[in-house]
Amino acid sequence: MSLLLVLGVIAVAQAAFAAMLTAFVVVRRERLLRRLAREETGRARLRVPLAQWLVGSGTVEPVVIGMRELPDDSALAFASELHDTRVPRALHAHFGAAMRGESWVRWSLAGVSSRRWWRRLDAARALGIVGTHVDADLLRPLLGDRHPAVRLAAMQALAAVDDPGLIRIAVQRYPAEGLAVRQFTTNTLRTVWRLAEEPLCAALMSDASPLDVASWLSLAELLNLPSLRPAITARVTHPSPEVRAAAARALRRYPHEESVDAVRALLDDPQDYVRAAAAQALGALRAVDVQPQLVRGLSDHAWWVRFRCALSLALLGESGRAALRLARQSPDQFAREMAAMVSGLADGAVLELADG
Amino acid sequence: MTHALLQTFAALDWSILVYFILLNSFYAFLLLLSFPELWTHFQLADDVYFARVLSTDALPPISVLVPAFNEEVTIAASVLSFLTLEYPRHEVVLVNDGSTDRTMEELVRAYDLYEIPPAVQRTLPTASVHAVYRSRTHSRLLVIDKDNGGKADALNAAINAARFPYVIACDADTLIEPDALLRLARPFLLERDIAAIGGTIRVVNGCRVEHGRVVDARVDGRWLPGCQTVEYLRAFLFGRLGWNRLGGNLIISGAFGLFARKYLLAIGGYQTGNVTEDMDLAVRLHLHLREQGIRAAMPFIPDPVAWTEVPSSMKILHRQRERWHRGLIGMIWERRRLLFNPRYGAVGMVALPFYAFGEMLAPVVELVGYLGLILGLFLGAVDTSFAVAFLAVAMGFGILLSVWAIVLEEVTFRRYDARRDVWRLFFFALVEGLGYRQLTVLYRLHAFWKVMRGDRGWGVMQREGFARPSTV
Repeated sequence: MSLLLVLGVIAVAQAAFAAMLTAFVVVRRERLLRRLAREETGRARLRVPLAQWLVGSGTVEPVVIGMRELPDDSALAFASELHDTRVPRALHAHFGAAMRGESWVRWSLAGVSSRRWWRRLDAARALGIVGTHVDADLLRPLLGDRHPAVRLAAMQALAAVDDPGLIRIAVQRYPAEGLAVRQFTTNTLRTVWRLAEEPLCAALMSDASPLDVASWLSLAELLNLPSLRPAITARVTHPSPEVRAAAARALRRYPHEESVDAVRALLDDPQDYVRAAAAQALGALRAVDVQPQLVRGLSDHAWWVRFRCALSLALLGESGRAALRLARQSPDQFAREMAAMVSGLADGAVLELADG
Repeated sequence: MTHALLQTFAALDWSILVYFILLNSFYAFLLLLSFPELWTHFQLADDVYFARVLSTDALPPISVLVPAFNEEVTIAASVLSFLTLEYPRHEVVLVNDGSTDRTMEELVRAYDLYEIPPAVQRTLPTASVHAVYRSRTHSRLLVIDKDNGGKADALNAAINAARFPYVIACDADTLIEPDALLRLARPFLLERDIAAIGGTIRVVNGCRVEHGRVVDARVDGRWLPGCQTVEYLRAFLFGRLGWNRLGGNLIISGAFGLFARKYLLAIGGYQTGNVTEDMDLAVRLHLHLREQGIRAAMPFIPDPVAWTEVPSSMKILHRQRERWHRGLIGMIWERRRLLFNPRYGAVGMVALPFYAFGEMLAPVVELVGYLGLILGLFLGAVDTSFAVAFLAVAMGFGILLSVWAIVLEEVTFRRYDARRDVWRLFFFALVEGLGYRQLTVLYRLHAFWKVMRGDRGWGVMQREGFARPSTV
């Protein structure tokens, strides 16, 4: 076969392929538009029965029947959105029980051991909607899935499954998770806080690595459970600066005399980020008694400590603001500049920066 | 003599054919690699779960860096669009880079700025900073007024002042979609250690823009912007996604890219006096990570979108493409020690050789091909049927790649709603190879001429502005 013939064949094949792709795009677009229109109609039909059920003047059955008209994947997406944003928490169990036998739920749960991560994700989401304590075994492997998106959805399903063993696993896994999965774990643990208290308290007092303890301290800060305060306070004397800083940050959510006393000592910590965390916490705790130490912190050699001290002074009300005004005349250039910068901020800006 | 001439042309034919096959096979390989990447991103892009996660405080705070030079007309609206981006925690660090118009006065008026002591760290050297301002109305805005030092210098000043661990470099005249920061931060959700993330740049020409936002994405019906729309789709939807898999993504767009501040500081920030500072920065980052043994990723993700205006006149397109190519030549020359150096992994063994031989030298090879063809036909040394068949295959492959890019756009993000726009994309994919491509070859060849003359200027990029009524 000559080179010319080969080139000719390639040219014809290319033209045919390009024409095929063009036809694919056109046909697919038309089909997609039709499918979207059908889905929109299906969703529109659901509006009235859904509204009636949500306000208590109808039953959930018409909603369940209406959802049968949607394709399985669309029904799952619709149910997820509905479950998380519109169905009151008190009706979650009722909604899940009504959906349990539906084909889209069976289709979703069939993906629990799939090799494709997006099918496992579907399963985790479905468990978040219809899951109960009997589904603990289905959910357990998904909590440790290798894809973070699946773990994230599985963490959310924890609240529906409500199993003490799984909650313990979630708490233990917390330090190993990325930011987003942690965020969802935290949100879930807030709703099942009674089951989370004991394993978290044990974790805080454990001899685990400093980074793990620091992570649990940040979880304790976010959960804000009064029963955890003694365990957090005990950690301000930990040998690791990471843990001390995390303890200071956590204590800002636990207003108590003991919290102020514990954090005050950290203002003299050798590590600058611990001092910065302590200064920030004292502002959040509105620790007016510590004002002289915060003023002294305006001359700290670390920028972040000076910044946090200045913001905390601004949070202490008129006396703190007066101290900042006075610091603008300070012989120390660091203190003068930082006080000038923070004094100019509006109250809203101070709150925003201080919380950041 | 005739025999020798025939042999020369035969050798030329074969050389160009082999170059063509190698280059296009590599493009086809990139295309194949882009499929799994695109699929993963498509699965996550419009997911309600992730949309919710991304709007919580699970993401790291980001500083948006905006260098501005003589932008008095648009600066207030631009800053507002950056301040109102959907992201849980971000600040805007704007650098007035020695504007000679009323940019600074406009900022002071619009945002009630007050001067603060320059209590910012100065890790990177920059041109002299006159003053630092905060806003009484927007606590997340910081403005730095400095001497003119160019875009790279302004960005370095902004990096110095940034508070947060990640920074995004943006052009003041780039329109960023409100949710683009959230989407750009998706790799954090997937728990990857990130050095930089690139997002997609799309063509705003022809789109309807209201209050600094693209409200209706359209394809410009004019030849130049239309061809560039297809070109951008091709470059972003499979070119860069394919490079993700190879680990050699060399371009994080200067108009819209996220960086870990600590790595920018470690490599000394942007290099001033460079005409394509974004590519230079990406290469230096790769080198730094490689040399330090840091396993941080530099992915490109396709769905965060920023819109930019592309040249609609040949004169401006000429300047832009000549400058881009000059930057590429300069970068390859400066980093020539990395070529085929296994120490630098995919960057040294694949990405840089590709950019050197497949991108930098492509216009030279193409010119030689055209000249050889014309001369060969004139002298009777090249068979006409072979020439026609070869040209058909070469152009056909270009069209096929563009059509693939349109298919990828359609099956994933589908930003263009109107059928007419899809047809326009197909039309421009078809005609791009007739005239537009040859034009850009000439512009890129001009870059070689300028490099030999030692020209280092930027040229002026005139814009029509976003307020122009849509052409559709």
